[in-house]
Amino acid sequence: MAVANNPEERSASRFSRTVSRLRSSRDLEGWLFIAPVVVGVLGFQFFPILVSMYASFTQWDGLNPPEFIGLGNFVEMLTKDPLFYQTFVNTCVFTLGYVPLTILVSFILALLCNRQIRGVSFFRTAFFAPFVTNVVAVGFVWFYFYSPDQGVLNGLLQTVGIEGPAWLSDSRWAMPAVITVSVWQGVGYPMVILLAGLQGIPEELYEAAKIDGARAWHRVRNVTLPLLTPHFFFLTITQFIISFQVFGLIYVMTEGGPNHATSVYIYYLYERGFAFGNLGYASAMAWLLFVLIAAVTLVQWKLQKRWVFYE
Amino acid sequence: MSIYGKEITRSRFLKGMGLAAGSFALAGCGGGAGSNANEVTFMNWEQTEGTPLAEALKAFEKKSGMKVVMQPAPQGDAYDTKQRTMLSSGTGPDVMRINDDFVRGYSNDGALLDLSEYIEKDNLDRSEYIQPSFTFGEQPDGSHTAWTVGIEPRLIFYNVDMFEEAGVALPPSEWTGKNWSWDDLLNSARELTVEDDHYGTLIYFDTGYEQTFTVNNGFAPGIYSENGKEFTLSSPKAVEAVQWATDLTCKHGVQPPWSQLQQESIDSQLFAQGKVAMIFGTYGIVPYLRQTVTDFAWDVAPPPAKVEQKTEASVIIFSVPQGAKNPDGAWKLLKFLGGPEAGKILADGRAFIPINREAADTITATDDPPQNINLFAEAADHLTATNQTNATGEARNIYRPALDEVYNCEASAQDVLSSVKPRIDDLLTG
Repeated sequence: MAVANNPEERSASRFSRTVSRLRSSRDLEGWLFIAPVVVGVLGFQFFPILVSMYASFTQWDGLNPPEFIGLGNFVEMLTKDPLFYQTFVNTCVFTLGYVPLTILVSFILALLCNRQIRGVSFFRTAFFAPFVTNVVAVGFVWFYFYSPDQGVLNGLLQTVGIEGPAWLSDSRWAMPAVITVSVWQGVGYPMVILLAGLQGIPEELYEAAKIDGARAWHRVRNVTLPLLTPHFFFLTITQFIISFQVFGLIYVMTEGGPNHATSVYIYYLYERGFAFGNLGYASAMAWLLFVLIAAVTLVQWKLQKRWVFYE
Repeated sequence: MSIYGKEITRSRFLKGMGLAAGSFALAGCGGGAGSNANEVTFMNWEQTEGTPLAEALKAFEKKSGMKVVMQPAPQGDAYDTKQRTMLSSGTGPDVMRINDDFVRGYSNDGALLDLSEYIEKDNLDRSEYIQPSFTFGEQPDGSHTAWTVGIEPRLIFYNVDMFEEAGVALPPSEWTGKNWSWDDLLNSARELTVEDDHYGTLIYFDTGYEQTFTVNNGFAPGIYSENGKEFTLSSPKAVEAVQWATDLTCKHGVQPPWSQLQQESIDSQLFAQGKVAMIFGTYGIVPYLRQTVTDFAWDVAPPPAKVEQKTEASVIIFSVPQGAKNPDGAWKLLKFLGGPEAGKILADGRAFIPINREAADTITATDDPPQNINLFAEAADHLTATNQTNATGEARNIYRPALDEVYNCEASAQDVLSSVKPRIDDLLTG
């Protein structure tokens, strides 16, 4: 090790050590600042994720030590469990109803809310309000709304001579009924995203289109829609993930019934894991869902080149 | 920044915060307050304060000198989830209310303490308790893992005014099938039904009727075989009972459609509103009806008879988790709750029928309805025992939703119950 002999060098070395001490002190403080978050993330996110991954390869009731069974849960799921397939299909049906409808309705609402008219703030708030309303409250209110004999909906239908069905206990109508509520509750957030997108489109483009003789619909089709494709892309991905994780409304409104007609993937996962104590099976379901969502998201990401237009 | 004259530097503040966070984390890992010999922790799935059960617990505290510490718990499915989580982590209370569907499964998993040694040691006279509800806690391996404190038998609740207005003979006021067969109930329901106003009867609201009417149709096992390994509700006599109950709606139009019954406690609400003349309900709805019904007279009768005249009773049971901190104290509390002193408190409070026969027999008519309330205590001699399985909850989750199609008049009970039998049998034997 070289030793500094002259005073200038010694002074520079002291300075360097001091800076180093200060830096390490600042580092320590930095680490202390983020420690709660790091501990939280490691302890409450990564650790449970690892445990869940291990649990997916075990038979585990939560009361006795888990028993390693390899791919047993996945094999049972894919070859022996008819409810797994039914809930998966139900989830796909829900997604096919929920995602396009939510984006379409939120786009229409965003177009309406983008107009400079008196009271537009009220409407923006009103459309967004269901999104921030507690899902249990929403579920209960709609449960009574759908009530076959005392509900508002069938009451209205009766005034025009239509005998409404038993919405939530008729296997043909239960899923559409739940999708309707989900769309009603879910449009607020996509609407805000699309509204922000609409307000970012330069007015000159519309003026140029007008000069070229484009009518309102043509302006929407040729100016608005292409420029909103990044927003649509974002919403397609996020709404798909949300729809595959639907749980609250199902839990409150139908409990998966009638005859499992509205039993979706996460609800079934909850039942297997927490109601019936098959935590290994539920973990396997969770990981399969993760892989599925990741795969579909990846496909969507790859396909975006074909339809998403970035300025 | 300074506190009491001491300068607090940023780094000292951060270190202090880190220590504090660590202390909180360690405290959190340490679990809740520990039990000691003079303390019994107790968890119930409904509010205890202000109920006869709370009075019984106070009486126990006074008599034993021990303290009963209530543990907070959510209601509904969340209770079961919390219970499983606590049992998994070994932090269960000393005494906990338990869903009867889970007793066999938890017992097999070794999660519940065997009380048989305590029962033997204290030389309990089993004949003092209502059978077979008392023996519900006995498992095939000889252990006794659940302790029944009370029962809620099911009877037919009926609107006396509706019967009298329609000129229909009242059901019997004692346990007899004379003039009270299935056909008699149907005939009464027909005469009592007034279109667009009210229905004559409602018996198929929940699982209670499945066991009762199946047994009464001459099929003793009921929903599950005695060893709990087979789903027997698909047997011909059982199917006949389910179909008969369903036909009250689909064929005879004397019972509300299934679509109108998708709401918690709707059966008692419809009865209280005068929209149904008879319901098959448990003792547990007596306080609600006493409080709610003010504009008509009501009473109770036994279930209608066919080959048998039995009834099913919900059981109010508690267990001691394996590894409870104070098992001796827990047993003392359970024994007290099943004894005559607590039984009298529970009987007087109309909470449920106490498991102690002597206390149950004190339930007699008062000025408040129902006039024939003694029929509930007498139900002790007419009980059908629901056989336990390892996976009752899961089995129910398969066959009950499937029955929706039968109740919606879209399929026959035979087709639906036969179709689900293989899956449920696999589950029960698995």
